[in-house]
Amino acid sequence: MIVAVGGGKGGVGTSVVALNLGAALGAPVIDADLAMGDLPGGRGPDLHDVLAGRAKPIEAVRTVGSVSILPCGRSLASLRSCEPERLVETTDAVADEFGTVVIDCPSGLTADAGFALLAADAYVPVTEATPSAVAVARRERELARTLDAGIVRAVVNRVTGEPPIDAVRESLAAELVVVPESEPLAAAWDAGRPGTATAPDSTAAQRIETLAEAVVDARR
Amino acid sequence: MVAVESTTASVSGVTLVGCRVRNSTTDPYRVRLRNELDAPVLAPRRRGRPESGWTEHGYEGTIAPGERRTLGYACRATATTPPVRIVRRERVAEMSIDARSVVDQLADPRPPQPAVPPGKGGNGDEAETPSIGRDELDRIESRIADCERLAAATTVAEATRALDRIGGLAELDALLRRLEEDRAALESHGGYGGEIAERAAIVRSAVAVERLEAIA
Repeated sequence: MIVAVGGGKGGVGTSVVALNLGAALGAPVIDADLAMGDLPGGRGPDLHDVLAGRAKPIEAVRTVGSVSILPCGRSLASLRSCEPERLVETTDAVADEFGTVVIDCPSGLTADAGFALLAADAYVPVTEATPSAVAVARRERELARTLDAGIVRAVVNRVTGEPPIDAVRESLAAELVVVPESEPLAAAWDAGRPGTATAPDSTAAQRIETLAEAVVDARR
Repeated sequence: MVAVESTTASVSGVTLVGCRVRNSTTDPYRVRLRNELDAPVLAPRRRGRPESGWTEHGYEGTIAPGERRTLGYACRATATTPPVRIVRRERVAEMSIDARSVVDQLADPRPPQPAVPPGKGGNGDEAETPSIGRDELDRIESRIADCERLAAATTVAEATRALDRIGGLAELDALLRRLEEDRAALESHGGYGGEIAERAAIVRSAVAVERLEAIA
């Protein structure tokens, strides 16, 4: 199963959710934000190399802490040499090896987001409970629907106070997982680690576990 | 009714065929166009591959109600009249969406060639090993990661945490100076070293020093 974690808007914590979901599922995470990848990766071949035909998908997957990651390249030159459409076969190859794969989708409706959704069987949009973030998530959700990536849950992330959750649910027409703003998750992210591993008892980590269970149910 | 109009132009033994398929009905139609010229279709290509809907015999696609779709291909044969015919038209109950063609219409995430700094790898020269120790490279990447966290901080808590990691505001100047030295040392390297230099340059300019000073 290939799960695309998206949402369309930058800064809402899509990558943090993707990393933690990968950790909770024991699945590798592909950083498909070709222009602004931010999952930890260290050294070695990366997704740019794979999409340019310089490395095989499995060669570029490495273990970072407790998660397997296929990190993205960071340079303009290596981005320029990519063939974004190879994302579909790349994701399929990683799924063949590992069973389940999580894709960390880029923000914005660019072709890399499109190919990630085209490859995906399941879709998890991440948004904050602000009108602008929800509007962007709605647009990406429409694209996911067109590309046959079924929505599993929508994540309302970094929640503080009492935002209009019902309005978000109605707007995205999906069951929600509400993840509160979380210092442990943020600190773990800064260290390049999933908070589900470093602070498993935090509310945020437990909500990610709930999301992982929903993905497992959808897989069945 | 669904109809096709076509034009031809011949250049050095190659015929360029332009067609306009028009669906003047109120229903979507699945249409197959067959090339009548005596050679295979040279389909329009995108990123080196034929665009969706094309085969060596012609084109097949769904034309929306009222749509006029302009198509074109080339063929190494002399022109005939007509160069292309509709061999199948079938009303479809619902506009079936060709997922691939939807994605093809999204913006390309890659930078245009002129925006890429020259001589910085990315074209198969990654095997070139910078003459810099692996440990040093790791230290440089760790400094870049520190700066990336500083640049990415959008809340006071994030900025404070990122500053704590480098030993506080007092260390910021030294970190940025070291990063500039890293960039200068790696700049002439191709491949991986060049990529690191580029990351260092980008992140160095992204760290908002005044804002961090104000927060601290």
